[in-house]
Amino acid sequence: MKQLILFQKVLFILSISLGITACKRTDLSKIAAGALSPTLAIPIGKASFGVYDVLAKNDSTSLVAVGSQGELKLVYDVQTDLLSAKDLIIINDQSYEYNRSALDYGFPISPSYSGTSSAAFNETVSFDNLNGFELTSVEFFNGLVNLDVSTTLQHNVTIQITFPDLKINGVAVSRTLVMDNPPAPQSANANVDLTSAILDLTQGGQGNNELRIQGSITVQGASNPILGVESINISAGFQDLEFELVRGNVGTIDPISLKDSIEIAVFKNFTGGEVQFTNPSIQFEATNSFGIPMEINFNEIKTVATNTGNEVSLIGFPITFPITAPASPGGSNLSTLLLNSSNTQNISTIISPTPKHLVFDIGGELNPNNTTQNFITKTSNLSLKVDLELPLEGYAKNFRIKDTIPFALDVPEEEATLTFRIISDNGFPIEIGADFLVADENYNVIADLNPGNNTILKGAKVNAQGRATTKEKNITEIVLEGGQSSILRKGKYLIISVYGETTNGSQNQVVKFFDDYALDLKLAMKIEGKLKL
Amino acid sequence: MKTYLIFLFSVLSFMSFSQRNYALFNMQSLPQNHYYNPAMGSPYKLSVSLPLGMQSFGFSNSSFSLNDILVKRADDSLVIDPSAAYGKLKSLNFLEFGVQSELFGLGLKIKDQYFSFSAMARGNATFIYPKDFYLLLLEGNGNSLLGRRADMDGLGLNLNAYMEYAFGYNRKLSEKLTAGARVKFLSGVMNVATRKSRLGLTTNEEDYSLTLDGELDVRTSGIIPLMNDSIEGQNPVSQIYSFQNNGLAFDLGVTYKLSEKLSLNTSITDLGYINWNADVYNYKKDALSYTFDGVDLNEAIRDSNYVENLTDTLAEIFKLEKDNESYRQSIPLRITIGGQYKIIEKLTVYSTLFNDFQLNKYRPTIVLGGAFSIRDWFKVGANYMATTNSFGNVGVSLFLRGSGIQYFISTDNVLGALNFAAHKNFHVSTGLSLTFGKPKKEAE
Repeated sequence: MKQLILFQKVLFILSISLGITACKRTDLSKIAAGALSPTLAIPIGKASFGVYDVLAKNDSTSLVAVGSQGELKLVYDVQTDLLSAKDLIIINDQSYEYNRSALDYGFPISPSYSGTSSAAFNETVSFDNLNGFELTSVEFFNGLVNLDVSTTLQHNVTIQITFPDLKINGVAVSRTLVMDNPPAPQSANANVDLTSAILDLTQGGQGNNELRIQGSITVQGASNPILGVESINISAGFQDLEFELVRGNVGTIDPISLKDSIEIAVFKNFTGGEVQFTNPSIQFEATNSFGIPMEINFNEIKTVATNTGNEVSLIGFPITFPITAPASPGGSNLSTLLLNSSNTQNISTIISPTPKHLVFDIGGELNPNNTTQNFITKTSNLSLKVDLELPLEGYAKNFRIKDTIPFALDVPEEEATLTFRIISDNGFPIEIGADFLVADENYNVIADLNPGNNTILKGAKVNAQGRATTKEKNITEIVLEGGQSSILRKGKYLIISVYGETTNGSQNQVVKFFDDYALDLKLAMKIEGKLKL
Repeated sequence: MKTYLIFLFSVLSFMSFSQRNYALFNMQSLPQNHYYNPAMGSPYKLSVSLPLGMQSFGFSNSSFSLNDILVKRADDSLVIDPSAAYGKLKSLNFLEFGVQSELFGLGLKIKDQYFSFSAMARGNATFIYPKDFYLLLLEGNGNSLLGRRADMDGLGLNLNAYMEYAFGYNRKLSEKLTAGARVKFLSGVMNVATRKSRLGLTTNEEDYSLTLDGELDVRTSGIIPLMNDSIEGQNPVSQIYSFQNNGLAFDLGVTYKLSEKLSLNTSITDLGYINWNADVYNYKKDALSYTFDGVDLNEAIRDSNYVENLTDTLAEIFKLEKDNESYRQSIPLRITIGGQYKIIEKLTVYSTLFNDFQLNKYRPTIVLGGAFSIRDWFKVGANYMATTNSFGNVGVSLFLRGSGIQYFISTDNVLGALNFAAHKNFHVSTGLSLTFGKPKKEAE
């Protein structure tokens, strides 16, 4: 019985408790919307950059040369033709004409002539060139001699014209023109192809620019009168003359003038800073296939920073550059002049202000020592190659590079915060920081993506010889807050300003770049969003 | 026959393993208790469970309740904040649903023997979610999980739906000892069995590279055609009687009276299996580990087909091996050990230990309770139940009988019924039977 009463009491208490619990039940109608804030972390991409990748990104115009130890240098060059054969000598058309009478040649005057009579002629004419060179011989590549004769004699007339100085295959050029159709007027012509013809302009001796024309005129009487006033006309025209080779003395002339420049593309986007290369050099290479020694004179060599207008002239360097000539036609000579710290006073410092161009202004003289035996071939050429070599050895500090690229960021409307993480493992001895500014269509800055101006790359550690020995790892985060997305959607341009220095560049420590350096980059992203429940 | 209605609050256990009915197990006068210990049965000469006689429904979440993810604001409104429940999670957590529907039941008592037949539809589903899986959904992989492996080993879904046709028999072997058994023929309707599940996601703290590792073995039957219109499958309704997915199970039980007041009981139920043959789609993946650290830009520049090749590679790595091989799956087993003590004629107290086994997972449940006969036709009960990660569950039960009609309703967590938001589980069973033939007094 006691147990029954106890159980009844327990049941009573239980019922009360249940009633209280029922009153305290959760009112689910009060539930308002909640939200989750998950964070998604994902890798985006990775890449490894070698020296060529890094240098080519900013500068596709240079050559990256590798030394025997793997040391690197940038080589910028420009090559130009200073002089060609066509620029130097032009052999113009030549024509010779003789209009004489029968009496001038000594033909007998007769009311009816049936005999045969001959007369000779021998002329020495000048074979000119527009440049006034003293030519001694010309080997023709192309050309034509046009021979025209005419007469009013009423007889058969045969005129033989010979150029004793003009030979084809060793045989003097000679043509016989026959006019055998009296009565007058009569004419005849002949052409001579000058391909491979050689013209000796010395008359076999010591002269120049002279040509002999010889010949004979034979009259065979046709029983018509010879009055003496009849005309006998002989003309020889040299046309379309192209030479294979000319010899002679060109004298001393200065046809060379050049102002050119080399773009130093590595500094293309630099906006400031100091860069010191330890051993830069400028090499001039002249290739000469003229049989004429020459000399280049440097009027000025300077570097120009077009953004600041800053110019620095090279001083204390040899101002003449002698160029030798080949010994025989068909050859060419290479002449070299190297300007470096051993023969130039300030070659290192002209590069320091990160100039965009190396400008050189030169003039030139042919045959400065008046060598008399010169030759010019059809293909003779004087070319000049200028190499600016920048061994990647030195230091840089406070440099800034700026570039602007199109920008478009399509982020969702939700207020998500994006954090971009750049993980770098840098084997280059160069430290880089960066600003990322978003600008609108008018280039007004509307957002700064890296307000802390965080370092992007840490410079690799270097040894006493300047060689990078240990890669340096760095992690940089760029945060786009949820509220920024509406601003960033208005962005049209991304202005990237990169600044930095070589490892310990502020202490002027010299570093060297080698071809085995590498930069590993990874990009990852965190997205912190809100999911409504 | 007395036309009294007796309301009895009986303790019912959780149904989430689809056969929980902890109080039913201790209700001697109910024909349905025979299902949980075949040595038990109705005291009436004939008992008939009407179509859809007994219905059970249960839900439980082993880790947190709805209130645990509701946070009260200053204006008295409630905000859903899943992070508030994170501290309550264990390494593995279970979200379970269970239903049991008795289509027909029959019990016939002849002297010391009891014969039974029942047709029952049973279904249960368990979603196992590891703590790190919850954290991954809550926070993503970019917060607490950075730099460590998100351990999602064990993530999986197990689902079982089948029809059970059972023939039972028990016999009073002596004054003290009764033993019984049931043989059950099972016809499977649908099944998902996650036999092996290992999954881990490691996000590198520095570069956020993702390493996925895992292993998988999932068997399904009758599920894929329902999810994919392009695949033709069997009609799920016909699977109730077709025995295309055939199975066999046994129940064994014993009761022993130590004295007039004290009795002991034990049983093994659902010792069996189902052969799944119809619409079988199995998915397997051998151990894999793959790390993605971003698109290789050097390769992408060199190879115009890089992205396509990468996609193909990923598809190949994560490709699941599929087959349609039949498989055998055991059904959840229960072993029960308990005892009852009759304090007085109208008041009985009891204690029972339930040991549930499902797919290599073990869950014990202890129930302490009492039943009080207010009248012969009106009985009430109350009990306290504790199981893994769930304590303080108070159940009540009610039994009424009159004019040959027997009705019961029970819940193993009455507080959950009144305020389910504050509790991690909720189960209710109710049943209606017709009884004929007055039982002997000692059977009550």
